[in-house]
Amino acid sequence: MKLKSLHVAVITLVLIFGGIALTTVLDLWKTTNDKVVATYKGGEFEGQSDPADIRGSYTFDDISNAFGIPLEDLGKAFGLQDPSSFAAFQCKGLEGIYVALKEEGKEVGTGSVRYFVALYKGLPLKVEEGTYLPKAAVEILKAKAKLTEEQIKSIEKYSVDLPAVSATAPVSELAGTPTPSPSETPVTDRVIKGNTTFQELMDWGVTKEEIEKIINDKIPKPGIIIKDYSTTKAVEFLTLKEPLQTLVDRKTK
Amino acid sequence: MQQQILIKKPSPVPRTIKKPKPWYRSAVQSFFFVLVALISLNKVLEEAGMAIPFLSQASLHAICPFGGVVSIYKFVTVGTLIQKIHESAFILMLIAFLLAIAFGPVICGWVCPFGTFQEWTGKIGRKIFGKKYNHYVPVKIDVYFRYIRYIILAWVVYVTATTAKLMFQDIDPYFALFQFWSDEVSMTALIILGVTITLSLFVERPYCKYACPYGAVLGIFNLFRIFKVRRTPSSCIDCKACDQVCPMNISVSSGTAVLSHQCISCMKCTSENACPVAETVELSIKGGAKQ
Ligand code: SF4
Ligand code: SF4
Repeated sequence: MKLKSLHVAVITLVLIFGGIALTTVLDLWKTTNDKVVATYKGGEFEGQSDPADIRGSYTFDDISNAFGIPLEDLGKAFGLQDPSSFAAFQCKGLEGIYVALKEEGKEVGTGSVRYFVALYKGLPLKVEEGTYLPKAAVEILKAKAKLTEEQIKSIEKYSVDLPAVSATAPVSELAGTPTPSPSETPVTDRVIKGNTTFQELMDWGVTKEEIEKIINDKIPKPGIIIKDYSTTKAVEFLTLKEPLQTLVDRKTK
Repeated sequence: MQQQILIKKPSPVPRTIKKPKPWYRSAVQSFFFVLVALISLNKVLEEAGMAIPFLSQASLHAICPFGGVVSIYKFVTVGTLIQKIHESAFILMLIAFLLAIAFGPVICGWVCPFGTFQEWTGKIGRKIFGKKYNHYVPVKIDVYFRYIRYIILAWVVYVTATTAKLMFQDIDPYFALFQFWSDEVSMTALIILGVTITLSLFVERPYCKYACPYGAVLGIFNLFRIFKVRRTPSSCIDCKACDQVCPMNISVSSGTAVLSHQCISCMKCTSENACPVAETVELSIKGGAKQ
């Protein structure tokens, strides 16, 4: 069997546009993140948004809109400090903040947000093992959600103590000992490490503008770990760390 | 000095024909170039409230099949795509794979607007340098240079998998070309674009040959694609017209089927185009041993 260039042209166009048309009909062709949370497909809660569909890329604003939970509750429950950052905060950012917990087999991440939302709204959800809630979230749930005795016991058991509700600081030593919030970090400890975020720098008194001058770019999200940011920008972490550290040092003098 | 001995074959009555060169590929290339350019522009127009109707308002990431490729790892392990990549990119990736299984990297030779852009720039180089054009890099080192794109591919996949972010955007000259006005484009990508444009004046498709990680992925399909570019030695008059025209410098005339990972399925070497003998270089399923 032989093919001419006309055949290749036609087959290429048909496959590409036919594929797009077909997947559009099947509702698989998505060029944007429309952030529409899927709904329960049957049962008592049919038609209601299903917290199981909350994804890491969803912001607290998306979730607040989809489930009608006040932004303030979401932000406070998950230890965010700056109310202006609540709306744009993406669930997956939690994994970066509570990274140290993971090593202990306790996870505070997107799964925890799903859990929180489900309990807050009284919706059914299959919770994955190892999913924990921050203590602040438990308190909010106890105050605002209708929980059974059993649920209260369970969330109390699966909660992690984050006495210092920090914006985005990695929780380093969580084994019971309270971690000071960034603003309470002893001045001498203000050293940029591999897990330091832009938000921490701001908490230490460096302004957004000063940081942006150094990185020669806009800060994509305050919660981003500086080291990750440098990787995505393909620049050496050190080349950012040093001038930023100088700034921090200047502020602490 | 070494003398080359040319053994002339008893020439079979070559059924050489004067033929008009088919324009289908150029048409398809121009179509996709304009389409992608308009889509990138539409995103800006949309933000200004002046979007072109009936045209997708997708971002460039949403229509780049390579986005699907770099997402594979995350998709398999976590079940989600990486940041900025949408389902559409994944679907386009599957379509591109399907096409590649059948015909090799047609996406490179027929669709990719950045390949087209390099080809167009190369036309200027060809005008300036004539026959020397696309023959500047010594074959001996060139063979090895052609594997650099696999190193880049491995690196891009690794970094994307570990950071789950579309880091490739920061070094992608294709993105830079179609978004040069946007502040999303990094300086590095703009520099790579500039270098590519300059090199295109000497070498055809320099980025495809040496750097494109997506071309590297699709290139692998050349080894087992169903329709291969095959040459019939019995009717070949050894004029090497096929070798001369190949943008990727593949020696089509030295084998019976093109298996080079660099072939972009442009079909320039075929009897429809450069080869002067009818039915001698063709895109076909059967016949032809390994090159
Ligand atoms: S000229 Fe032939 S061998 Fe060369 S890239 Fe095009 S199809 Fe492949
Ligand atoms: S173009 Fe290539 S295949 Fe065709 S006759 Fe010349 S050498 Fe042979």
